[in-house]
Amino acid sequence: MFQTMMQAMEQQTRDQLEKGKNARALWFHAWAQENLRAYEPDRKVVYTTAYAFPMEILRAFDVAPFDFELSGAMIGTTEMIVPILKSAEDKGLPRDVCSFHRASLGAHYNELFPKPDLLVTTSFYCDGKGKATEILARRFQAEALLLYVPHELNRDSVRYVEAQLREIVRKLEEVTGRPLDEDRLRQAVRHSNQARRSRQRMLELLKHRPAPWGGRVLVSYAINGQVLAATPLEEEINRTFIQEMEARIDEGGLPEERHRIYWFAWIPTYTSDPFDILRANRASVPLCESFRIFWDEVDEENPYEGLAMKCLKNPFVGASRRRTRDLAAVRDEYGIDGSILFATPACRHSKSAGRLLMEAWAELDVPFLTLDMDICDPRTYAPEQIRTRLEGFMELLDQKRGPRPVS
Amino acid sequence: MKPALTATERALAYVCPYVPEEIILAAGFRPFRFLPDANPSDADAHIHPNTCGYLKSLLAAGLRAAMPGVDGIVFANCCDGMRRLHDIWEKYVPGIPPVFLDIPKRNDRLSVEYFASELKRLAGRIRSAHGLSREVQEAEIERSIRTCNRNREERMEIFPRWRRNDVRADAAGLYALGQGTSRAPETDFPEQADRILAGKTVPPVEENRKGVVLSGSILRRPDLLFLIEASGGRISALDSCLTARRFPGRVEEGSADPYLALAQRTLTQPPCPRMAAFEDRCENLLSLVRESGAGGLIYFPLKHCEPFRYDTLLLLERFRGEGIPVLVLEDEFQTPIPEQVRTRVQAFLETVGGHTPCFRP
Repeated sequence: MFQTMMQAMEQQTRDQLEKGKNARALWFHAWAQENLRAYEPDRKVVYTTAYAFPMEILRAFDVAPFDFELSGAMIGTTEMIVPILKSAEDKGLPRDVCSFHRASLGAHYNELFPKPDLLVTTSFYCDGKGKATEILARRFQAEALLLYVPHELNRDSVRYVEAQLREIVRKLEEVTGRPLDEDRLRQAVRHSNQARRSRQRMLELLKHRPAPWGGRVLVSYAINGQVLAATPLEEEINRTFIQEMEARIDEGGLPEERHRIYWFAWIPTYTSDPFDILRANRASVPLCESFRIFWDEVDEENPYEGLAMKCLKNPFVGASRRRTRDLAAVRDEYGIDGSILFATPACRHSKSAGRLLMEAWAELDVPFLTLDMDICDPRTYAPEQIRTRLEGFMELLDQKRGPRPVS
Repeated sequence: MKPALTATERALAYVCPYVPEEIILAAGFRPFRFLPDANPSDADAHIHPNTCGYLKSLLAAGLRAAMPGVDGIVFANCCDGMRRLHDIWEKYVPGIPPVFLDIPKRNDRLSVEYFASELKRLAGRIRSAHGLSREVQEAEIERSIRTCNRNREERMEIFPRWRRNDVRADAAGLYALGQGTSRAPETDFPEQADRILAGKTVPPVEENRKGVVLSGSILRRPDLLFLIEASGGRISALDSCLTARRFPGRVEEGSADPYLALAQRTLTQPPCPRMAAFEDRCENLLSLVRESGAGGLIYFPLKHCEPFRYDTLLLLERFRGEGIPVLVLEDEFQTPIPEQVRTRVQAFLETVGGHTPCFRP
């Protein structure tokens, strides 16, 4: 079913692209193609979590990376999700475990995903990711490698991560039967650096008021788009988003904004309407934490150290204050006047910092809302409750700003 | 719960068995495994309510200054929630300075070496947080290694004896032993054991009483043990953070690098689900069941404890594959044991066989 879904997505987006280039179609087309590669006969498949693992390493080999978490989440966009979640629950996975992982494991139990030759993931963002990888590895009788990224950035931790990356490279050489192609690794790093630069341009454009882009698509791209990290496609999609934003700004007529929201963490994958409610209240989301650039360009000639630093500088590694760094500049540059934390029940590493995030914004006089909603399980979705909370929050922001103009 | 201190002693609490007591001891503090009273909802304003009861109760104790005799606390990167608890503690709990210890989830050579460097930093962090005038000396670490080795060995010895019925104690006595000694590593163990086990008049276990292995994260109270015994069952082995999992493994004495020796022992102790070592953990549990002749496993993960919760799936699969019955009981860390659990335990004991009603005196 997942393979068919990807084939349909590939076809649909190809049709759209034939009519004209657009960033979203380009992104989903590439996404579908990337996933379909994992179903090719004799293709070596490496399960990974693209938004965390340094994908540059995998690009240097002839393997098809397969993000089992994001693929599980993609099933969350369909009506199949509840039976899929139930398959994992029936096997004994409790319902207080992250629905991202229940979806992925449910998909596995329904034999929807390709068979991996190797599984690699990181210790950040969450414990669940590593555990889900371990379960899948055992189920498939394949080896799982965990890249442990320490809490603190120091000389020892850089060396430790670097050494683990070299170990992963050795394992990939073993799995593919080919030695690492250093030029290919340099090229992947180059693509990644180019995409970083174009993302900087995107972030500049998002400062424009009214916002030329943002909301659900932005948050989704920030996470989901990483499946294409370190490929030329990422850069191409970024460039296309830039062209679209520039065109919208030039044309004018962007919808009027009353509030600009900074979004923490993730978004629901199933049909739900928080972003519609925000739009109806003339609130845009021009920035989310997962789209910010926290890492430096990686030196092509010394990729291991640069990639280790990229992992260690991730705001979800280490203390929560990393997530609130530079918020004053964010508020001023992006005109932020409200912030929302999307709190999915099992995401303890993110939502447990809610109070600290709230206080950081309070010091800047920016109201904050914790929006409790599941990421992938629609069974707990209570639309009216979400509406009440978001509308209450909008009223608060309105009051702070002053009366709305009478039209 | 309060550490037993002499007039000149100071205590540092810690929250996870992956924190080596040796470092705390060498820094001049008494290590104290802190188990808070169950008041999870008191922390709801500071941490998301949907967090495990142990973490929330720890925070509640800190916020209410309900940690008498404790000078500071060592948090560990044992799970996502604990990491965040450290951040919250740092900001909202005055008077009990927290320090943080990162713990790799792997136990290979690279990880042991990194962890050794992290243990050195831990000693430095304790020194700065408590204004100690000098660095922790390697000789002090060596001395504390010897003390802790001796204590662990003495404690280790009693668990197999208990499993063989050489020790006339009920499970609650053993539970008290595990809990009680975690507060005072340098206490003379045999004396303490004698005190805890003294006067136990539990009759010898009947031949037809089938035992169960109890495994989970933290047992805050021995209620579940009482329930199993009162329902005619027998605890064949107890595998929790506060009991048998804490004691195995000896730190190499006289090592050229005592931090490395400590790191080696800590990361290779019987793994808890936080480690990426399901196979080892599962084998340990299977051995406990086989060696103790138990008829089944009662698994009691704390609600919202991610590492334990994920392991449930594989444990069920593996144990059922081996024909060993498993009962999963969710532990809320708060409420007394409900009647529903009593019914489930009784039914489970019937399935593992040998149910003989008996009553505690």
